[in-house]
Amino acid sequence: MSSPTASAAPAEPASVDTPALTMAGVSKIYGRDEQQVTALDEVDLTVASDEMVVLIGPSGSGKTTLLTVAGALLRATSGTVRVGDVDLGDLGDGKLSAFRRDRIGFVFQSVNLVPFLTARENLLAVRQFGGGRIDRAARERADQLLDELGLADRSKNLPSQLSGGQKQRVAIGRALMNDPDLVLIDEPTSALDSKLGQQVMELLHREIKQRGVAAIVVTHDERVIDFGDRTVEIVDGALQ
Amino acid sequence: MFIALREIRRSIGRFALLTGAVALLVVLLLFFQAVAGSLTLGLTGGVENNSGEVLAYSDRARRNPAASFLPPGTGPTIAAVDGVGRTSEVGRLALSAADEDVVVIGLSDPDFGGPGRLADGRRATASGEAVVSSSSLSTGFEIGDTVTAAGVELTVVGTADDAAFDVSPTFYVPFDDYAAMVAERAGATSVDEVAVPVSWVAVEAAEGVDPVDLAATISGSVEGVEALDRDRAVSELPGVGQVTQSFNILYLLLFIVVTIVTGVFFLILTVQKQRSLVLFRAIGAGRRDVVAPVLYQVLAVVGLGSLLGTAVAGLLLGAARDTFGSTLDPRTTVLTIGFLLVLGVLASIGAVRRVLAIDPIEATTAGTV
Repeated sequence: MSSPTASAAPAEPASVDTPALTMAGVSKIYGRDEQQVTALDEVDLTVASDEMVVLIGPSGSGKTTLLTVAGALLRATSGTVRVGDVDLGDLGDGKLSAFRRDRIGFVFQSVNLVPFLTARENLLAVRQFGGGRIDRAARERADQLLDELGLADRSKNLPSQLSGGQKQRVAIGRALMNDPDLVLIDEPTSALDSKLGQQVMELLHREIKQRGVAAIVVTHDERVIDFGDRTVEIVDGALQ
Repeated sequence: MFIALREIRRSIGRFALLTGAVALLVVLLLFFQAVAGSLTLGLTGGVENNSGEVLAYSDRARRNPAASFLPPGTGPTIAAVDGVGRTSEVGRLALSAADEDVVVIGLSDPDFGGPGRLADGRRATASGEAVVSSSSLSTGFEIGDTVTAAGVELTVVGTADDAAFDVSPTFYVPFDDYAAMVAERAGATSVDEVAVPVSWVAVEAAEGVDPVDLAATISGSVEGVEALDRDRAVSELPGVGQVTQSFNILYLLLFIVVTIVTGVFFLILTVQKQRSLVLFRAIGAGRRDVVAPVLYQVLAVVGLGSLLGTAVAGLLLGAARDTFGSTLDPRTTVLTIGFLLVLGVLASIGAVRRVLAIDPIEATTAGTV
């Protein structure tokens, strides 16, 4: 595996193209008055359209909050979040769902696959949202992704019949199913042993780079750092 | 639809159990409805399907045909009331014949005052002839059968559906035969020796006259008479209201059980698949995308359960036809299934509310902050 050298570095633009993600002065505050907790503190981060950023930080530092704000799952308390040309602050709740469906790919840490759908159906389900149809192109796309992920012979298996690594690969396939602009990945190796974790990260890196998609990988795992174009550290809600 | 059907396929056991439960309740519901319909029609059919638009009873009868005896000469008085088009004096007698309790209805006009329509054969116009309406709860009579009732031999020349009184086989005969039976029951040797009572007078309104108004006119102008239009005469028959109310309570209970069973099942199902729903919402499913599968599944389960229940109820009623004489009424069946589907959707409100309350952010809560 050859991967770009990565190190903790300030958040700066990595491309002259329209960035996949621009966060400017973003804060996220939970609670009120004395109960207030600042999860994100004036965060500025730009991710280029083909950049893979690794986000590290101690537990409770705001990594997942940053990911959810960037992924339109949570609204920022203040600041601006843009994905491509779209300012998320301009979108209503209904449009945020459609935006996540069409422009963002998610790989979550724990809740990742629907247990009553096969690997292939987990990918196809994404296409049905918003009144979409599961047509021949969708089926071919799902088959192609599963093939690339080495799961062609597992496409009809339910999640309960897959190993942890295989599940994670299916989740990666689902995240890529709708050709997103930005893929957000939360602790992709946390439930895997080191060998499987390495395999999954190699696969993830290859898929992301092949498609020229931007990605943010949140992790505690130091071995993951090598797979990013750059590494950003967050401490107490602020980027270092 | 894709997600809803896949979930049913992968959880076929639990969905089959719920469908079976709904089917069982539908069987009970339709079975009760059919039996209640037969029982009620056995009580009301003679009036409900009577050709008379207005029935004039004695005002002491409390709208009960079995208790009505009009004073002599009342028939011509009623016939003379303004707005009356046609009348027939009717006598009613309950007796035993052919080892069964039967009701005999004597008609002064063989063509009027009995069943509005015949199922087969012709009207009883000559002495010794009868039109019979079999009770659904008894053995049927056919054209050509002969029965001896109170010394009068009757030959069935016509049959009528759903025109019985008192849930008993009912013979419509010429008034003279009825009078002969009354005399025989009284131990008289001749009809002239007894006063043959007229139970009520069946009335047809003249053209352009409203039967409801005519009933009021007759009641107001003829002493000792309470006239009712046909619909009211049906609803005022003794016992009908109580029977209907009892069965309505049963229906209500069954509808409530279907609603609760369906509602609780889908609520539990929603709780069990909460994580999947959270994931769907997080990766871009709109509210409609997560609510629609719940509604599809409700309609599929209740719809399939209703169809299965209808099929089983039809088979059961067919097998028990000799006992109950009941069949499924298509209109009632369709209305019942439609109502169950609506109830199913209403029952799923709890599950739908829970689905709508899902916050996609929960997809990340197992991770770090």
